[in-house]
Amino acid sequence: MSVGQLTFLAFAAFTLGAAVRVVTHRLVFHAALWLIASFFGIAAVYLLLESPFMAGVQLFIYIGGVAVLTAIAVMVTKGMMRRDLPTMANVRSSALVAVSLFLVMSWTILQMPLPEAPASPVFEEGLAMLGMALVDPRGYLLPFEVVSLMLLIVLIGALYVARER
Amino acid sequence: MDVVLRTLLGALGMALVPLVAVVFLIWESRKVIARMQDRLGPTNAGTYAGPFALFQTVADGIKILTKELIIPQGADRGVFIAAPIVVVTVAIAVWAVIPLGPSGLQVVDLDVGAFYVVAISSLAPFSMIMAGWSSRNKYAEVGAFRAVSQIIGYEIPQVLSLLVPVLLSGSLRLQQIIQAQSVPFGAVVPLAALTYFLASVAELGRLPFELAEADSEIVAGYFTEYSGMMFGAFYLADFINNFTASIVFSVLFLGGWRGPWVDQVPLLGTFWLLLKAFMVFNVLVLFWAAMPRLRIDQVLAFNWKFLAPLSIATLIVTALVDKMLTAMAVEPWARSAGLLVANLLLGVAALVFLSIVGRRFTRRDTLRRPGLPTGLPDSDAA
Amino acid sequence: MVHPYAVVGLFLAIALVIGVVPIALAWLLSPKKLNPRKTQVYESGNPTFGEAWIEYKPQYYLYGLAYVVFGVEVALLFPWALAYDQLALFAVVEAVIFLLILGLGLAYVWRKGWLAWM
Repeated sequence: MSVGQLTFLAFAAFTLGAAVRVVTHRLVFHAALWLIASFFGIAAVYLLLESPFMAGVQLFIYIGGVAVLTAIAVMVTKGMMRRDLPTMANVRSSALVAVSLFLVMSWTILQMPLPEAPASPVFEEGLAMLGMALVDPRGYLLPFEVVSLMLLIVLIGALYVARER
Repeated sequence: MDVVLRTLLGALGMALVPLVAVVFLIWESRKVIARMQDRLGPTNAGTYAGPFALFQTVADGIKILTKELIIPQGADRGVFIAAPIVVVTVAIAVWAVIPLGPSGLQVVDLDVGAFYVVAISSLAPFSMIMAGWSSRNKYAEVGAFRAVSQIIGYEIPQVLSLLVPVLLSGSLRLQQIIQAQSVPFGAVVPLAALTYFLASVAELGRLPFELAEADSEIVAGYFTEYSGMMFGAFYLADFINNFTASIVFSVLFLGGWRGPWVDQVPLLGTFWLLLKAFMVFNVLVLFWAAMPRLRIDQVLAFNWKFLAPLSIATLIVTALVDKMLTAMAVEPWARSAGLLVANLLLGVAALVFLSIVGRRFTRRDTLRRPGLPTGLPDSDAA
Repeated sequence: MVHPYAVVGLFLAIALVIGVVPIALAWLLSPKKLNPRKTQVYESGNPTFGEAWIEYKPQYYLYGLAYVVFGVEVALLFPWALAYDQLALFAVVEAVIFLLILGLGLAYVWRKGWLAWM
């Protein structure tokens, strides 16, 4: 086992452990904190995949935005601060859903041929190449602009719902 | 092994730079503010604290270390203690990529240096939430929400303006951004520099955006319940962030360590950078000394209705103008001049827009009923 | 040659130590004479009443949402900014459209008055 593999396993275990704590902790706010820990773990995995940009995006958007949103939602909801919330109300059905989802995803991933070595060399200018691909009409231009439209819809939708009447 | 040791020592040294600098800077800002308020600031009247009371900060630090750490009952101990630790850690963590000099005076020249700064800065809001929530105090929670709304709001124009130097230099590596500034970007795209600076002032919680700590309003905001060194940690992190922001601004827009004679004496680069950062820091101090505080709705309105749209416009205009100028293959100086003109025009347009909207606001605010005082030097107030 | 990310990790560890040391030092050096009056939650001298929750205001959540929306947009602009030098004017215009879609959306929402609470 190389150092890289060991490091990966360590971070993967950390991420999974944190994720477990997210769903098992009695206090919702602590669950949010463990969620952040799992995001850190994922960011570390991205670093191991030589993608510092994705790691940064994890920090910038997931921890800086999504986790903050979750925490705000927790804090303004009455009764969320209590420790006596039922932790797992429908254990069996939720476990069934989670396990079947996991099985489907694993089966799908295992269908793909696993690469033995890095498929293509890691480009030094990887990020710039991504940038070019994003605006290339034969590349990802359409998804790029569609994402903008999606964000627009989200923004307008949320503000419409919350508008002052 | 030798390499590892050198790396470790280098990292340790760099991590201590903000701490040492802050000791001096706290003293300096107290002196400046005092003079602006027509008083003396820390002096040696009483216990001796170094020449000109330079070591006042150290004395204060020692004092604060011995204060009792009170954790309010019902508070979440783990999170409560973790919050100040996180704040300081994040403040120092940015220094991994700060280029103090032209070669080697940098822990790591990350390929994504500028993005690293952005990503680490975005970790700050959550420490405020942790502090506010774990205090079990209504004032602290409200303070945390307001502070977080402000901080995450102003991240957007800050990052958008940061994209302009990235755009012009074609790289996220901080050393590269410095090297691309034969003319400092502040002189080429002053509008982007201005929006970045204003957004940074808000991010730092400096007046006029000092909501997080509004002394007279919500006690001490999200760190109301903190005493002793835990409060000291927030205070320390605040000053470290001020210094860091000044240095980052100097790197991005003022040419970093560039300056006369740097080619001959590389160490002079460190001096130039620290000098620039010091000047920027003092602008922040002057803001603190001289400006009144804005209300939360004013702060947020300024962001989403002015600064964010302005930074979007700046990015668009800069990108288009620069591309058109390079397509026409003009001289480099003409390119810089063209960008400068475009920026200034956009700035003027923004000011015109502001005055139009402002006039509409003024007219809306004043009740259009004769006889009522408007508080304005208006001729139609009877 | 030490891998750059490992150095960053090392630096983060050092930063964490620097964060912990003052608190630990203070805990060692400070007196611990707690009494109930000291640990009361602060509310301008009055004893607290009710649980520490605050009223639901959608505003705070919406700021976070706006941050995520614009944050995703900005994150997507980073690769574009890096590739800028090699892009044709057409490609730059495409990114401008990307920005304008959201920018105009913001203007629309502003005009409609839904930003009034901001």
